[in-house]
Amino acid sequence: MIVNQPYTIKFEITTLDIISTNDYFVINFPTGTTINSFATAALGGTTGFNSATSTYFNQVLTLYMISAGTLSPQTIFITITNFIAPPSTLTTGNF
Amino acid sequence: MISFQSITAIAGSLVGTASMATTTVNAVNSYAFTITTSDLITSAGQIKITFPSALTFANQSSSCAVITNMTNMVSIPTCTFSSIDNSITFSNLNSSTSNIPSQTMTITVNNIQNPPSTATTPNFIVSTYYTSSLSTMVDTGPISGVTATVATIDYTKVVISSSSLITSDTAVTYYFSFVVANPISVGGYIVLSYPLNIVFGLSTVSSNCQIMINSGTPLSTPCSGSSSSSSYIFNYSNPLPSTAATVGTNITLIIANSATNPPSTQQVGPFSLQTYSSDGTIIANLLNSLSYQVTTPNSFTFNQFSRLSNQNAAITTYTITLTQIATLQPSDLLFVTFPSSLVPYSNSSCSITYMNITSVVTCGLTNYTFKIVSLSSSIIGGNIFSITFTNIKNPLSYSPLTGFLVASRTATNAYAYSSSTSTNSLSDSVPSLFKSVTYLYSPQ
Repeated sequence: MIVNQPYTIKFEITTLDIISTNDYFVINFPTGTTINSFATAALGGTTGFNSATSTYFNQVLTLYMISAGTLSPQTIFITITNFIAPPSTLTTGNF
Repeated sequence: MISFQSITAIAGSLVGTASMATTTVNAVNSYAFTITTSDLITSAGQIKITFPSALTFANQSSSCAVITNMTNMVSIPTCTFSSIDNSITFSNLNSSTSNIPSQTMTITVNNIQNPPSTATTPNFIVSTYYTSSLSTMVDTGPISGVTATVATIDYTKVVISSSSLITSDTAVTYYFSFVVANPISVGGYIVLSYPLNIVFGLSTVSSNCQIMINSGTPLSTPCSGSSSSSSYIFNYSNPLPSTAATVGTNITLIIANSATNPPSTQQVGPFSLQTYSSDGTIIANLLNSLSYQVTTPNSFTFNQFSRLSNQNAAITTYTITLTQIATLQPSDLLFVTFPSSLVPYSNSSCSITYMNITSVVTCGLTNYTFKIVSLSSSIIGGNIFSITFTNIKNPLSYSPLTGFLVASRTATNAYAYSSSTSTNSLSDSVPSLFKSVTYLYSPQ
C-alpha cells in the first residue's frame, strides 16, 4: 500500500454473537486515511450493504445491511473501494 | 462488538538527477539535485538527501542549500547534517502553513567535496517526510551516483633529478618527486613513464624501486617495468602499504642504479605520472609533460694520437683515434681544437675512418678549431673511429704538444654529447732544416 494511492480495503471481522441485519457497522478511519467519494462496500456472503443509507462523514463510515434476518457468529469480509492510503509511512491509528 | 486494527503504507517513489558544478576529484563545489516528488508534504515536512560515503561535507552551514523552481517552498531551507548516514535534512521548507505539493524542484547544495577517485559513487537516496518527524516518510527514491573526473597534477610541484648529470653515464639513480594534492589511499598505486632516451635495464628495475615519503628514508617498494614504442612504464604497485598519502605529502619515487643517462645534453621527455586508488580508478595525472636535461658532456676515450712527421715546422697529417659512448648520427657535429703550437690551414682536409672505411668529410676552420659536418655515416657508440687532418704545421720546437679539445654535438650545435681535452705524448724530435745556408769564406 503506497502512500496516497487509492486501494480497495478489506476488513476481516469475526463476530462472536448473533447479529441482526438491522444492526449496523461503524468503522472509524484513523487520521490521515479517508475514503475518496464513498461508492460501495461489499459484505461477504449473501447479505449486502444498503448503499442508499450507508454514510461516510468525518472519518466515520456507517454501513447498513439489507434484507431481514440474522447473522450467526462468523467471519465477515467487508470490502470498501476508493480507500486512500495514509499520506506517510507512519503507522496509522486504529480503525 | 469493537475491534481495532492499524495499517502502514509504504513510501511512494520519486525520481531525480544529481550533477556537479565542478567534476574534478576532491573538488569542493555545489551539487544540483533535480527532484520530482509524487506526493504532497505538509509545510512542516522535510526532504532528506543521503549522500554516498565517498562524498563529504566541506562546510556544514545551516544555510547550505538553495531551492529553485519550486512551489510553496522557501528558497533557503534549514540544513541539518548527520554523520551517521552522511545525510542532509532540509527543513523549514515553507514559511506559510500551506502544504507543499508534489512537484519538480532543484535543490543546490554547496560545499560538497567530490569523491576521491574517478570511481562512480553509489546512489544518493532522497526522501520526503510528511512532518518534522523522520518516521513520516512519504516518497523515496534513488538518484544515480556521480563520477568525478581525473585531477591534473601540478607540474610545478614535480621535481626530477638524478645521481649523475653526465651524458651517457650508467648505473644512474633517478628520483621523481611530487607533492600530493589529491590523497592516495592505502593500497593505491602510482604509474610513472620515462622517455626512452633514458635507458633502463628492465630486468633489474623491479629490485631497485624505492619510495621516500617527505624526507624519510628511502624504502624498497614493489614495482614492475615495461616499455612501449614511446616510453618506459613503471608501476609502483603498492607504495603505500600502511599509510595513505595525504594532501601535501612529498612522494619521491626512486629507481636506483638502473638508468643510463641520455646521450646528449638535449632535454628529454615527456614524462607522465598517474595516481590510482586501490580499486584501480585513476585519481590524478600529469600526462606527457615535463622534461629533463643532463648538463655535463661525457668524456671521449682517446686511443691514439699520431702524425706523419715529427720534424719541427713540418706540414704534416695528424690522426686522432678515439671512442665515445653515444652514437653519432651523420648530421651531428665534431669539433677539434688544435693546440696553439700547431698551425692548421684553411685548406686542410678532414677524413674519418670508421669500420676500416675512410671517408673525406666536410670541415671548416675557425682559428684553431675544425668543425666537421656531415659525417659519412652513423658512428655507433663504443666503436673506435679516427679523424685525420692534413696540412697541419708542426710546432717550431721540441716543446711537447698541449691537449687537443674534441667535442661532439648535436646537428643544431645546441647540445653536447661528449667533450674532453686529450693528453698526448707527441713532441717533435727532428729539427727543421734551414731554408738556405750561406758560407762566407775569408782567406787569412
